[in-house]
Amino acid sequence: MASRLTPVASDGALEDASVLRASRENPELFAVLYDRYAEQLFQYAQRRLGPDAAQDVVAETFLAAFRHRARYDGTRPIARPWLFGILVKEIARHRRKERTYLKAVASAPRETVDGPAERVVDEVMAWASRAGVAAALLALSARERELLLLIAWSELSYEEAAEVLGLPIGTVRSRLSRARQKVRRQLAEGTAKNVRNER
Amino acid sequence: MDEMTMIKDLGESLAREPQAPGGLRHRVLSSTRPGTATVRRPRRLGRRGLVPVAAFAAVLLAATLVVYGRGGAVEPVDASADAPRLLLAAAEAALDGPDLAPRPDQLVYVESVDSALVTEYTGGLRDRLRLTGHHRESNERQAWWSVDGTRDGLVRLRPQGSGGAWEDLPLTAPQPPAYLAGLPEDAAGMREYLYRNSHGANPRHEQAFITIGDLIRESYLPPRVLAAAFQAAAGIPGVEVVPNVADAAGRPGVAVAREDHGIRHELIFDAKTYRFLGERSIVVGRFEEQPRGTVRYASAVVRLAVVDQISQHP
Repeated sequence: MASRLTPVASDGALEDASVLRASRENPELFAVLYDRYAEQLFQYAQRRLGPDAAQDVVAETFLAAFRHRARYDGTRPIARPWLFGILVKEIARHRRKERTYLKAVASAPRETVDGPAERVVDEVMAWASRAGVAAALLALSARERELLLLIAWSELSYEEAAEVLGLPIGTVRSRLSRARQKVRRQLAEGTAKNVRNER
Repeated sequence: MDEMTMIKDLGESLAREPQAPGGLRHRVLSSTRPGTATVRRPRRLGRRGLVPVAAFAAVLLAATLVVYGRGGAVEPVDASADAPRLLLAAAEAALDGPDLAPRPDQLVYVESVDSALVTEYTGGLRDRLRLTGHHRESNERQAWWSVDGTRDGLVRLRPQGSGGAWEDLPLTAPQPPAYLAGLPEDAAGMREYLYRNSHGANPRHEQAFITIGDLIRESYLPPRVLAAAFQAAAGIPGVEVVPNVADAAGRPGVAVAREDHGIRHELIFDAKTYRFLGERSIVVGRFEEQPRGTVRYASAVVRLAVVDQISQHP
């Protein structure tokens, strides 16, 4: 899992910035960038939108990156924040789809579980937890959700996330902290509600 | 369980596809390959940029220049061979090299032979790319790099074995220094240096091995530093021995190699003297639809010296 999300320089010798620069004359080289980052971008996108829409946004991201490769800031050796920056904009265009996707998770019917009692309990708990978290995420503003999920579902550092979203690092920290607090509160209320309902 | 862990768990449950679908790659790359006619060969200016090229100290005999093979079978790894022992022998050989003690105002001159795979294709901006084939470009290469990076340098190329005119590619200062003073002279210090100064985006062991190549390539390393680099390589997990290889100049050698993501990176040494000859990357697994055995890049150092002026030969 972790290794799949690790940036991999498939040919080893070239920095992203060099690959992009060279790809202006030799577009064939753009494949190197795809091989380095497609997997990470896809993994993040499918968590946000589901696998089908993820394919579309990842394809759009690479096509946009390809069209704009001459504008890449060559002083940044690693292109990951740049690519994620394009990706989050593409995802933002699918905001309704994203909400629908999360709602489906939040209200998904509990699957029938068979097996030993412990497993049944575990799976029911997991189901309740996932639905609760999805509901809490839905309660966030789009900007809060974008940042929180970028940190939770990609392997970006705070610094990289700041670059992706074009925010000062201080804003990233404060917005993230507020978003986490909201989710915590929402989860606590949700649990209390469930307890009341069961009584 | 805190809320971040719960969000991560939710993410895992939403990740239905373990991998990006294979068709996505084709979809993206078939529309990101505009271009016109046959591609000119990318200029190989070497070092930190585009191009891997190899280097090393010590004056080696001018090699017989043979056209580098198109690749075929992959030379197998000898699992029973002792990579650390080979690297130790290489370290000892490195210690026998001359200490050139370059001055900051001088130039490091490196003469080498390199060979790279170049893809040919046709297609327009909106057209589907059509690959028309590959060809190998092999060059004789002479490079002058400023010792401290503050002076202009020069790279000179001509097709291997052509005996024709040289193409001059001027290098404008500032450039990366060709000689870094103060690099570690012991294995432990070098190991720490390699892992700390690896700036690529690769997994750490892979990057540490690659950084050794970057450090050696068209630079001057004093004997003790070079020896430390080889000793440090012995401590990198996954390093193996490939007994029978040839460098880009056709010289037989033995390689210390590390395989990652379908590519095997090799540092090649003389099979008898263990002197460093050059480097090579070869496809050994699945990599960009290239057949196994494809040599993507190879370089052999023919000569390395310190000189006072551009275009001066030792």
